[in-house]
Parts: sequence; C-alpha cells; structure tokens
Amino acid sequence: MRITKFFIILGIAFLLASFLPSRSANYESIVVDRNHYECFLVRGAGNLFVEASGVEDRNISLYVLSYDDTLVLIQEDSLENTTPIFMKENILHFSDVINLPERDWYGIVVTFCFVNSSFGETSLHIHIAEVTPYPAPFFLFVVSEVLGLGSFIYRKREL
Amino acid sequence: MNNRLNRLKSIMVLDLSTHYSFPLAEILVAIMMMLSFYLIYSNGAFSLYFEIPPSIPYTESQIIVIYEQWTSSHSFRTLASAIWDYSFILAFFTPMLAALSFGRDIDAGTFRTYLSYPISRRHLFFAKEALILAIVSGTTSISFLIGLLSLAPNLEVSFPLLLCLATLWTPTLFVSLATILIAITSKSLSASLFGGGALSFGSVISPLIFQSMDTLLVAIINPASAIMRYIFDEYSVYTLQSVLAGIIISLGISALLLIITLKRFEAMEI
Repeated sequence: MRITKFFIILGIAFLLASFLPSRSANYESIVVDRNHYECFLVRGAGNLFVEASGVEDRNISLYVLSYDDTLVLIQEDSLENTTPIFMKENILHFSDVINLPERDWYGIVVTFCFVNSSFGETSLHIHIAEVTPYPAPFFLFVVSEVLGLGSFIYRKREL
Repeated sequence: MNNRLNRLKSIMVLDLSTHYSFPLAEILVAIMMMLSFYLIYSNGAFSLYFEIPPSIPYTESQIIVIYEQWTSSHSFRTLASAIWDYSFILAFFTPMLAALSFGRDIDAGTFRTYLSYPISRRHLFFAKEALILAIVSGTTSISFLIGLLSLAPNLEVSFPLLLCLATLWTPTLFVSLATILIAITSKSLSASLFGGGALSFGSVISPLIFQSMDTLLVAIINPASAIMRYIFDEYSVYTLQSVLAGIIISLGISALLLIITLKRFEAMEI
C-alpha cells in the first residue's frame, strides 16, 4: 500500500514543480540608441509570454527570429536578410503569448520606430516568461498518478 | 549472491519502515525532486541578452564566438548553477539522514535488535548507507537529468555534464561516512547530528569565506564550487584538471574513511 501513497505524493510534487514561477526574464529601462536592436536569446518551445513597451509611448517593433537568423542579425546588423517567425511592427505596447514551433534557441528582437529623427535614445521595458505548466513535470505528474491509482486498484482487486 | 541481495533488500525495507516511516521518505523525495526541478528551471531560463551593436566594442568574430559558446554551453552552465545552489541543501539533508539512520540506532539501542537477526554488520552498514545515497543523491540526480532533458531534448551527455552529476555523489558519500564515524565513536545521536552538520556546512561555506582557497582543495571539499570556478575561469583546462584531481582525491579520502568506518563498525561494542 505504501507504493500507492509514494506515487500519489510524488505526483503532487511533480504537479507543484510544473507550476513553479521561475522561468522569466525581466529587463527594465534598457537604454536603446537610435537604430540599435535589443536581442534577447531564449530557449524554449510552445507558448511564451512576452510583454514589451517603450517609455514615453514611443512605437516599437518586435520580431522573433530563429537561431540562424539571429546569427545573421549579429553579422549583418540588419533584419533585411532574415525571415522572422513572428513580427509586430509599429506598436505602442505588446503583451501576448507567442508560439515557438520547436524547442530551440530564439532571438526576441525589439527595436524602436523613430518617427522623429531628433530622438537620440530612449528606454525599453521587457518581460519574457514561459507559460506554466511546464510539460516535463506535468507529464511525470500524470505518470505518477496513473501508477499510484493503478497499484491501488490492483491491490483492491487482489484483496 | 541472490541471498546477499535479499539480505540487503530486507534491511532496506526494515529501515524504510522504521527510520523513514510513512510519510517521511516520501516527503523527503518529493522535496528533493521539487527543488531539483525548480533550480534547473530557474537557472536554465533566458540567459543571454545581446545589444546590437554591443556597448562593449567586440569585433564581429568575437561576438559570434560569444554567441556560439553561450548557446552550446548553456546546458552545462544550467546544471552547474543548479548543483551549486543544491550543495547547500545537500549539506543539510546528508548529515541529518546519516545521524538518524546510524546515530539514533546506536543511541536508542535499536542496533541490538538488528544484531539478533541473521544479518552481518557489513550488510547492515552497506544497506543503510545505500539508502541514504539513494534518497539524497539518487533522486536528485534523476530529477536534474529529467529537468535538463526537458530544457534540451537533443542533449548530448558530455563529460562536463557527467562531472556535474558526480558532484552530487562525492560530498554525500564523504559527509555521510564522516557522520557515521562520529556516530560510531560517540554512540550518540546529538553528537553525530551536530558533528556531521558542522563538517557538512563548513565544507560548503569555506570556499565562499576563503575566496583565495586553491581550486584543488575546493574540489575536495565542495566540488560544485570548483565547477563554478571552472566556468568563471572561462573553461580553462588547468582549472578542469584541478577539479578532476580534487574529485578523485575526495573519492580516495571517502574510500579510506569507508575502510576505517567499517572496521570500527564491525568492532563496535554494543
């Protein structure tokens, strides 16, 4: 009977682990020079929550690039030869869930749309977080509970 | 062989129903698992930020090297940071379990009951020690590996990653054996609990207090800290050699400690 309780308690631990609020990146007030890109490398898959805004209501553009395209951006210092997986241009504020196709490295690039050329530099707030529950511990929770309940039913039948 | 294994198994089952009675073992394993996942996820998140063009004047080739190095060594850094954080938790649980498993048995006289069973002292020792290692190092190694695989499914299990996982075992082995030796010598639960705890926390904290301590010595007493030094030294081969040598020396000391403890345990008067 102890094995049943063991799997059920372990399953609860996995369930809690899958909701732990840990994977996030917060960058406050990053000073961005004119024509500069800010690139945040993230590793993940599935849903990713991204929130970005510029100070003083300046318009921003947000792009999600693959690993190779991020390398192209670093080499060429331009988005011209890249194919963004996701893009939103000329917006005031972005707060949404972005779906990443497979687990890999991605570059989340934020740039300002300077309408007035007199603006030299401005700052940016960005928050990136993976949406919970995390798949691996959640899967282990399901497996543990199935094993726990399975052994419980097996014991009951034996008796 | 089968008979020996059955004896070891029966002592472990007995220990599980006495020292680790329900729900103590379950709660311990659940805490270990949750902490391992938390540390892997919190350290393995968004670890790189690029400003383009960078404020520090790197050349283009230097930026590409940094980019590729950071992304390729991400799994190793994640595991190393998680294990460094975890070394403080190990420092708490290892002496506590060793003192409860051995110190309490000797102190309360339960050990006499064990000796009335047809089990040799050597079997008793190994079964109890194996259970401590399985609960502390075994569960955390498995959960660290699962957490890491969920972050990087195409993970190649490389030598540095294995080294990181080995650091979960070597301090546990060393501290648990030292605590058992204290328990056998003092025949007291409180002496083994405080003695083992002091030794354990001392070895974890001393590399932080004495920053100029040699990497070899750090690797002997706290290999997780030595691995962090290896990362800070930008993966220097010299530091890696010191880390490896330290871990081997630590295993050697543990082997010596095992022989002494086993001899004392077999000759111990009850």
